[in-house]
Amino acid sequence: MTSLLDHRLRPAVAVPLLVLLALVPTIAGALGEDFYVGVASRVLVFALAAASLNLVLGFGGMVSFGHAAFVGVGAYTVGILMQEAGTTSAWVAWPLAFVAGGLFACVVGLVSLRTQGVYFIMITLAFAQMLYYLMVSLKAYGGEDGLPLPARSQVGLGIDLADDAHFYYVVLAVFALVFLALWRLLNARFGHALQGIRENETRMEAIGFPVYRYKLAAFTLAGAIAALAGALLANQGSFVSPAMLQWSQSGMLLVMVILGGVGHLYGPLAGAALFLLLEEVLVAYTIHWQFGLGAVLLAVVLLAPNGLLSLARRKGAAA
Amino acid sequence: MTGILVLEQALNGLQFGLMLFLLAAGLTLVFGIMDMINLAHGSLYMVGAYLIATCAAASGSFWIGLAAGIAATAVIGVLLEVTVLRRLYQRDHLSQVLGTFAILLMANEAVRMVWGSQPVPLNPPASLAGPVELLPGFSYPAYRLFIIGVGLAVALLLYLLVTRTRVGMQVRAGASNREMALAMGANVRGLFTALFALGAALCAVAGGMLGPLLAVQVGMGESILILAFVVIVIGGIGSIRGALLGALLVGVVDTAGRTLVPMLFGRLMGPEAASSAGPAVASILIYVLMAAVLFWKPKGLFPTH
Amino acid sequence: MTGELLRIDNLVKRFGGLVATDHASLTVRAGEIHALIGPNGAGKTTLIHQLSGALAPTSGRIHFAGQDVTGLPMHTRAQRGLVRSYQITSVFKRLPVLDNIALALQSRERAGFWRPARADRARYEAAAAVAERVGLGVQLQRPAGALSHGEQRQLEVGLALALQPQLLLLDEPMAGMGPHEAERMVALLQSLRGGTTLLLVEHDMDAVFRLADRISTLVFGRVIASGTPAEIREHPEVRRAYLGDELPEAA
Repeated sequence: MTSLLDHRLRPAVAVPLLVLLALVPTIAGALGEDFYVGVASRVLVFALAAASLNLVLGFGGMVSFGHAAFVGVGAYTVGILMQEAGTTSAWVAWPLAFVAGGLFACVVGLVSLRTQGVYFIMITLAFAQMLYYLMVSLKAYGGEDGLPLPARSQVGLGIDLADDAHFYYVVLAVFALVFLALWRLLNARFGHALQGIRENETRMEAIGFPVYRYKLAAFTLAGAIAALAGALLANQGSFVSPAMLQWSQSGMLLVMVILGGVGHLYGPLAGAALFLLLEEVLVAYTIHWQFGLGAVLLAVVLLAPNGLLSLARRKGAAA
Repeated sequence: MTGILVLEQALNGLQFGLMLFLLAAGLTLVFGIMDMINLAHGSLYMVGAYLIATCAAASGSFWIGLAAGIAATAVIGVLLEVTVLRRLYQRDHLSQVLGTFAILLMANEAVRMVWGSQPVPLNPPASLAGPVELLPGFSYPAYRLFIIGVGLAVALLLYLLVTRTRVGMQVRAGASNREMALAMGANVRGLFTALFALGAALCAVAGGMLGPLLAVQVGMGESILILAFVVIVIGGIGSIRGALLGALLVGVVDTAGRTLVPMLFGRLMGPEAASSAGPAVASILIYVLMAAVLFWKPKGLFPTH
Repeated sequence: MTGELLRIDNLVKRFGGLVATDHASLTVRAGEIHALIGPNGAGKTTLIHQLSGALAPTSGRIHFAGQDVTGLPMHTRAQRGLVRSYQITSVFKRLPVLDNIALALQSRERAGFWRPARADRARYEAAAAVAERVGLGVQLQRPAGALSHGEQRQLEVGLALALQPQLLLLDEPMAGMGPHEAERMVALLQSLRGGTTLLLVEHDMDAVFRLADRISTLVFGRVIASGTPAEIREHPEVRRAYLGDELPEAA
């Protein structure tokens, strides 16, 4: 039997999708449009960040408006390590970024998770703003202008991240691994409890779950994953800047999650893809592409209230 | 730090705070009564400023521009409410965030399409262009005094409206218990639309007042929108009194902080710290203020429910 | 089981100027069905909130199973066997009945991060058994929100029962039920006698006098009387509190 608590991997969808994604550099090369490999990398990086937000928002019911801060923490960890310690190894920098994001999220969560509703939204936003202003003021790390990275991280094993195709495969691998881990987590007891908290927090406390601990754990993990996405983002553009921490970026992540379908396993991927591809298409079409983007978003809100994937769920699943 | 400097900062803070109040009042009412998060509120402020600037330039008179711009923005607010925003009242906060964020994007781009990317000039009226001597040796710009006057007048008007009129009573009832107010026969649709028009007008007033001081440019709504949200969270959602007090607090802390904190840092830690850490700490101050208020009063200073 | 399971000592709860609980004291003996009655506004639900841990009392102490639980959070009390059900149904509306109860059972287990929850067959079988016990055996797959009001109340109790509580705090379990459903609930509660101790708040006087071993009366936040149904029936203050409302005559 299935209910809202169950999230199927759907191999019939997952396998072709993975194959398709794996073939992107090949296809792009064949079409002579290598540029799209970079676009695809960006989509996957944002899908990773959106997936981390979906963990707390879609599955935990916590509306965090400061998620870009965790992405920024990861990005700056990579940048600062490169500048200060000369660390170029991804095997050192990326796990450190993951840990840094988790730590920061834990601190933010400790304070914010005591609040509810709009107050929670505002406090998470406040923390993100504070980090933003902090990074703007730190001239040592570029301040408002940002910090360029001399090169992408080193992975070794014959992989050269400077090559866009190699970079893409690494991003895809990271995304796929995290995706699978999240799939297992959501279907495990932890995931069921987290969703229970989303459904009825008071009752979960009343039937004996330490709700605060669960939320904090989810929030910390989400921050860590977002920071990992940030590390990848820094590599993608070879650049780190406070702009990554702006609240409009947090808003954008929220939009991606909502677009794809809050609380759906494949939602973040769909949402990130739709948002960024739409952006690409519209940018080429008109300088006023943000108007078109806004119009499409508005249409989605009014017509597909639960995000795009909810349409699929309604048609497909009869559970 | 001379007394005059402190006085000047206090007046600047009062002036900014009162303008923040104009935005926060509309925002808190919409949130408190319709339970709607409206990210497009800052867009009304921006559109208001642009319309006032254009009408003022076209007519040659600041006052005509102000009146025309406020009226036009109120109309736009009504149109927005009737066509789109009305459909979002019943939806969850997340959908409202997405929907109003979409409107924010569209508004920014629409303004860019009509007026271009360069800031539009808006000058204060000639009659208010000079300084006024408040105390021996202390002069303060007449225009800023005017803004303070307008802010206080609007605050008084709102107070009378909310406490002395039937409509105001319905508004207060709605803020504390929506279902009950509906059951008692408040004309919901009309009330909501009127509230929106009022909120839009207030945004336009603020935009017109601040336009000559800050620049009239695309994106001017975003930064002030965050401040407005901080204000209503501090003040308590749905409370006009809270919005006023919160706005004054935020206005003073933010304005004075920007000048005084770097000075303090300079005195204590030298010019290096003043130029790097100073502005950062100043920007963070209002969030620290918000966190402090919420710690002491988790639902804001004057919670309505 | 003998002895006192729950003891409330001079509990006070103030909301600003309003005193909702005014030095309330009562004891509940292990194994009994203890009813808490009182006119509207007496503060019964506020008292239940303090017992379950949803509200912190202004002063006074709560002792459960020999331990002072006054400062403990709700989830800890539930883990120790002090479980409540709600007056206004609070279930997982979008989830099927089986999942509702399975969640309650899951709270006893440690968090798992990898192995699918559905693989815990034992837990789902136990959940089905609890559902059967509260009369929802045929409704396992139905979303809780689709159940009738009475069935939702049954699930409400079922969620609490799943935790195998020592003391079950029931806040108006029969709220909004028709006679048929109320009858079923009474039978269910009677079947718990001996194993689980019950403290129930109820307005349905018929049910109260049929079920209760002892009754406490709460008026303006204070327990004015505590005793057997016969004693309560004759108690002058209780009769006055109900202003002449008919208390069921001795059968």
